[in-house]
Amino acid sequence: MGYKREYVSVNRLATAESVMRQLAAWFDDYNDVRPRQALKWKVSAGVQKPNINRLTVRLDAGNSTSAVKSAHGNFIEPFKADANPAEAVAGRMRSLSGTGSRGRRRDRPLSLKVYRRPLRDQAVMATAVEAQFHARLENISVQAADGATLRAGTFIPIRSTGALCCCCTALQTIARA
Amino acid sequence: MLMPDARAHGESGGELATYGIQEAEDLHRWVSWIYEHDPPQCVYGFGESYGAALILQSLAVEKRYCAAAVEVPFPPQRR
Repeated sequence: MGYKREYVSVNRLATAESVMRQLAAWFDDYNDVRPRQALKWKVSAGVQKPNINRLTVRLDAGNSTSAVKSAHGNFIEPFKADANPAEAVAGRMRSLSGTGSRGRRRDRPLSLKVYRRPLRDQAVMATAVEAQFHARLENISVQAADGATLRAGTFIPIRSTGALCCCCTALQTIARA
Repeated sequence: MLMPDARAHGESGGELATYGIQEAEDLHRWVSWIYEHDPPQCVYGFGESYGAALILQSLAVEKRYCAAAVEVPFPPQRR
């Protein structure tokens, strides 16, 4: 929570790119400068056990190379400083995907690359909805402005019963209010 | 009823979750999809937690909701 309160909340978050550019300094400060009460007011660096989630993201403009440094002190896949910062950070986050467990995720102060929980039991849910609400589940997709494919499930009424789901009824009530 | 996966979640693409910066426009596209395929009398938005915050932020770019119900969105991160 300290990270959110002391970095995210007090800085300008006007655009995604500006946030990306600030991340490096935030991580550095959090890891290497900020005293921690839980560590008897010592700095995290050099006190905590190596943790892959404590990262230093360097996006030094003007330098020929930048790198992400893990808490082990190892640089991971150096990249060109003139690369798109958003893509650079995305790449670093991607390089970590699949390495985290639930416990590790709790340690992350800010996650742009969230844990992607696999969807399960879709067929079971579709069967149950069809039986109870007489609706068919269909998977659809649209293209986002940045080209990402967005997916959704939609329930199509097999036959109209004139009745809507409880949520829709409640929302209609709100709309009429 | 449409249940979208937010970008970087579920089966949707996108590498990064942007906590509403891009998702607001994503929701605008989903509402447009609804109107293109089966124009309804009304579109209602319903979201919880992260989804609630996305619904709220999408109100700035999507004016076609008849109503929206949100439950425990995260607080604004600007002061």
